Amino acid sequence: MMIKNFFSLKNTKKTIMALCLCIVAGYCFTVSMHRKTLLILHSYSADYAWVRDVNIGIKRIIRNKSNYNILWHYMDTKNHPFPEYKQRAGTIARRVVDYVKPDVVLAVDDDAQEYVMKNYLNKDNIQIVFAGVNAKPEQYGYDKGTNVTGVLERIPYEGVKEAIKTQAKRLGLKPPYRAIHISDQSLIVKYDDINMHEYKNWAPLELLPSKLVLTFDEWKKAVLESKVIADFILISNYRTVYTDESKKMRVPFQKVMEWTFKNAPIPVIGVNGFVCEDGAAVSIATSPFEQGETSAMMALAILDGKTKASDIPIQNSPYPMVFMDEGRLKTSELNFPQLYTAFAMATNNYIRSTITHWSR
Amino acid sequence: MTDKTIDGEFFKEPSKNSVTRDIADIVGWILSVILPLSLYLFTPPIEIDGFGNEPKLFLCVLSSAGVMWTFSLLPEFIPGIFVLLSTLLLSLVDSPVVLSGFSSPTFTTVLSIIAMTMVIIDSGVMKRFLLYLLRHVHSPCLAGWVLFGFGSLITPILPSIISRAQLLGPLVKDISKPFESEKDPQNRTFLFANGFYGLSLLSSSFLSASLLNFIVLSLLPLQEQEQFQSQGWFKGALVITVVLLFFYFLILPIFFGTGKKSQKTGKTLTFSNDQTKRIQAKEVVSLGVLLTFFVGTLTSNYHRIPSSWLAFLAFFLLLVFGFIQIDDFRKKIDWPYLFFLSSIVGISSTFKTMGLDLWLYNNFLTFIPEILNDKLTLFGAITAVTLILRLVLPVGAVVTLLIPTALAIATKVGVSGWSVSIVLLFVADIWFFPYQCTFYQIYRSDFEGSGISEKRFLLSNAALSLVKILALFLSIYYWKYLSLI
Repeated sequence: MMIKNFFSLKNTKKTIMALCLCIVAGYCFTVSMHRKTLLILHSYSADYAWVRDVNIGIKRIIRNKSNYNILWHYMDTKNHPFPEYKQRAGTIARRVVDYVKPDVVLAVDDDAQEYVMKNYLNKDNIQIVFAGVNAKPEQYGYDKGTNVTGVLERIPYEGVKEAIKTQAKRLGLKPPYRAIHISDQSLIVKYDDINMHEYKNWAPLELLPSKLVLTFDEWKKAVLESKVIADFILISNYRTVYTDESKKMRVPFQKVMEWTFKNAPIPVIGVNGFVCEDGAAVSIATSPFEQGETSAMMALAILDGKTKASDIPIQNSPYPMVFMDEGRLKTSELNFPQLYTAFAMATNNYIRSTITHWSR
Repeated sequence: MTDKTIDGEFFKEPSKNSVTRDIADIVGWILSVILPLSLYLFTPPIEIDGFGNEPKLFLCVLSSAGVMWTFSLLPEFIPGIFVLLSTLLLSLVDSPVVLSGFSSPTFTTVLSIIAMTMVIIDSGVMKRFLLYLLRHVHSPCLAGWVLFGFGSLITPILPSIISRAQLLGPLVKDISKPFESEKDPQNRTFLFANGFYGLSLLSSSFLSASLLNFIVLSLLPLQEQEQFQSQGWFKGALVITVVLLFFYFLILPIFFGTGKKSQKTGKTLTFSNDQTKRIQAKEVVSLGVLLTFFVGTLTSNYHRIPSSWLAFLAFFLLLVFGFIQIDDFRKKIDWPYLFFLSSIVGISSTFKTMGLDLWLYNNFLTFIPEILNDKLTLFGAITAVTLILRLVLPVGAVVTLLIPTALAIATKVGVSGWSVSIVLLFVADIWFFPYQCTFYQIYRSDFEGSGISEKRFLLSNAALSLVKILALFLSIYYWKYLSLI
């Protein structure tokens, strides 16, 4: 009787349904268990222009890669540049790495390397791909690492030199054209500054000793006094310029650039893309898109099992991007050849003036 | 006052007989029109890059909804829909942004958990389990602790506090019946208190212990949403839980003794024949699905399927095998709550997309940097503001109104958004007067005329409320240890 009940039509139907579901669920579980994980670890926050553009580059490459588990983590150390916070953010990020156990970590910018990834060096279960690193690879032991590769972020010296030469000739200056780097005192700027001064091929430019300032007053003084010693100001970063020496409050970054653009006695050229976005007329900068794209390609090649991190050489980012602001260019002394404008337009880095010729 | 909402953790429908209520309604409706108009006409424009008049219009719409919530003019989910609708009609942001709540994983998680809860309650398995436990209990003291233990056990399983109150209230009432003839209300109040604290005390300790927790989770930044899934949430709330339990076992005997000795022991507590019924397939399946879901969630790091999709899978299985009837799906799923959740997530996304969180901080919160820098003062300020607002506003309104600002502060100060949110949630749950707590009123309604000493209970509740503040204070040090703040 029991056997008869068991083989009743209703029970058979339910058993077949359960079996089908078990097969489907089992397949889903198996696929999911074997899905590789990519953790994208950013030093800064998602709303920082540089991070936004690096992410655009990454997404161009990982688009439609649904066979990987992709996770994002932001340490937000640009908004909180204090050692205590960075240590804390690093601890949390390491906890995330330990919990998620990613196959590849794509770590962007220096704080992610300093506070997180250098702890995973030479651990074969995690492959490290870095991007946006301003320090030298030796700083994190990456030059001898067996599980690490990536893209260094270097100011495009040749591009900056060419842009300054163009302007100097137009302004009738005679070589050497003197350029001064004015920026904040953040660690990244210090790395950039060391790299800039180590570059041997600046001629016909002369790169003067930099002025890396702490407060907004120091910034103003450095900018205003630059005319005496230099012909051009190069600006890399200003997000950690404080109101005073107590370092309690930072001056809003747009305010710093707005003031600089209005009061600079000599032409200002940004060496990061966001400098133009924040208030300068022009920037000749490393491409965040390229940083994102190249590093994502490396990460995918490793995830696909085509290669290991140690087989990919550490790369540089030699090609400059041009960022321009139409409105500010018109009111500045700068005047670039059409080719620069066309390049900025073609790469979608040309900020058009809100007042166009047909709406005046 | 009558409860209109299904969850009841948010707002109460006003009694239409009260003249005061009518006047408040009229004032509220007038304000809901005048306030946004005044804001639009008499305040300076909000300048945010990439936007024109949209942020200001959105804040005007939000102010109108805020008035509706504050004055309890409508059930809580309707002002949320009003904001979504106005944002869509005025094209303030793209529709995927404002409707993002409906596509969020939290939506499917909450829908699935509500459905599982429905099946579990309907199956009677919980009731059977409690009765089974009580079968071996022969003293009111032990019955009280069993009730507390049972309430705590179902806390992470049934996310709606109201559902727990509705499940446990009648059971506690039944258990208390043998003691109704006693003059001294001590035993009845002891059981009453244990039942209530069992279902409510640990509602901030687990993510799935309250539907409000899911709202807060969905508003956190994505990486924190991942970090504070079930285990992460419990780990973060560990000190709160331990302190609460420690003081609970210390305080309750002070107020109620340990249950007075009674003649009515043993057989008198065996009051129902439900436990003798044969175990139904529905009970086994619902319990099996629930256990599978919990095991799946605990092992999600191994199989890498997010708990949201596991909950959705459990929901699907219950539908496929007919344990959720279509009629139940229509009527018993808490749709108003799901709409409320989705609208809050949509409002929050719109807020962020417009950059209003940064604007809010840059224009208002930067003037109080000293408060923000000191974590103790920061959490103290959130506690004070929440407690004051809770005197006049229901839990949901307080959390909804304060959470965007609290999260903006958390981002700028560099503390975890979760720590700020849990403080807000936990303090919003503190109450001193019965009108402040809807689920208490529901729970109490089963005990009309059963002679419990409400005064003594309220005193014990006040003492536990102070303990809650102490638990928060101690948690600050624990969170520092966890690097959350």
